[in-house]
Amino acid sequence: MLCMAFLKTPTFAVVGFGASLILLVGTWPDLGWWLPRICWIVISLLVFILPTPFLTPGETIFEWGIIKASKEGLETSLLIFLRGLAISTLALALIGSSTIYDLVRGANGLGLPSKIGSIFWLGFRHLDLLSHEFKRMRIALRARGYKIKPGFGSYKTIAWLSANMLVRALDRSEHVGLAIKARGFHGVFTSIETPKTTLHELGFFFAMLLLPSLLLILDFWLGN
Amino acid sequence: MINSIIDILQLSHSYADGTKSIHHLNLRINPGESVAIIGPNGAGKTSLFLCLAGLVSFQASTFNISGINALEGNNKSLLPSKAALLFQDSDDQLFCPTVEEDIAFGPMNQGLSKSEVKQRVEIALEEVGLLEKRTKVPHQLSGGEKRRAALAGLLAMNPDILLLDEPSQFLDHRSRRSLINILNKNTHTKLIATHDFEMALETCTRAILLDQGKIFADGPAKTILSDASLLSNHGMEVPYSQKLNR
Repeated sequence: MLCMAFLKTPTFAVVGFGASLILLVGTWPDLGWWLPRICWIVISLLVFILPTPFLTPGETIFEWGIIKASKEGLETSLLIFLRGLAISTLALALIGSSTIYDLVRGANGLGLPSKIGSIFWLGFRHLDLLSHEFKRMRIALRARGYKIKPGFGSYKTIAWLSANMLVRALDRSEHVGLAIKARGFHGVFTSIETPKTTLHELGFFFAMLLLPSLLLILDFWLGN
Repeated sequence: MINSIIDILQLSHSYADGTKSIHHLNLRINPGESVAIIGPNGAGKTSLFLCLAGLVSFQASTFNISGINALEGNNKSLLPSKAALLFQDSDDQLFCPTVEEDIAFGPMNQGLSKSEVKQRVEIALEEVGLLEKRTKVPHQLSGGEKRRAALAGLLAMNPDILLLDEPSQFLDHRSRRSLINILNKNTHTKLIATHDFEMALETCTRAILLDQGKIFADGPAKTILSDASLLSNHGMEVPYSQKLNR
């Protein structure tokens, strides 16, 4: 991901994105999972890159009144778009190929303080509970004929719903806290499984170290 | 004379806003007893359990749980491993990525070796009949399985007392029956807070009626749960099976 962030030419950024996509499809072949996510990423990236050609000075390629788009700006926005897309695709491949708990444990193994890891894991667990609560409350609203529409009444209901969610979140976290305390928790999450690195994983690690580095070197060498 | 496993005198507890939930309560439970704690909503059943598990602050003149005087020094922190609490909502209790890891959570915190923890997990899973669900994500289990997984988490800690807060709540008939069978096979001292009087009759020999933080009746489960006027005075009803027996 770091290598992708430093790519300077759109051609190598395209190669980087292509390679990331192959990795994503390899780890998570289910299109239904990653395609909508990629679409959302593209939409969010567009918000950032669309103004860039109009804000960067340089050779004008399009003019409409006082609005001018530059070639340099267009190149910059294309590069940002491709790099962003490649990084996000790699992140999706990472998330899609492992459970959140494995990621936290891996991060702990790389030196992330266990308390931060625990907070991250419990936060994730809590979000899941909250999303269930939210779904339940939404169904309850629908059951009583509620439909979102512009107007004070509708906004008031959304405000109540949000406040209720916050109160429930507080209540829930208090219960989870007590449940953890009831089982003798003293600040460090431990596991009965002792993770072991396999030869296959080592090979993958070195491939992931070498290939992007090679891409970065070629980009610097051929791009200049 | 049998030494009580729970010996409490003048126990009081208040919520953060000052509302008293338990008033000068005296409680004595013998080892191996299975006691139903009954009472209307807000009677103080959950608060009593939180006190017994040492999870909230309380006042008492005597507070001995399984030979530990919780009023001395830092002894209160030892209570969770002696009196294990099953929460009303299993979702609050299950937070690890797999059932196995969740059951191991308590024993790992007790500082046991991994091999010992694995052994305890195995025994607990077998006892609640969840061996085949060990690698499942807890929040994807059914309600009954979640309850059994949470119970296994307590059993793996090898406590002396089980505090079960509404264990049959939200369970279907099959899950409820399975839970009753597990509880009847289990030899731990059990305190079961419940509105399910039929289950209380099947699993408990003694019943304590709690209301407004005070004990109003204490005796054989069958006697208390068939006393229509006593139950009616506290907003409860005689269970159907006892009505039929009249």
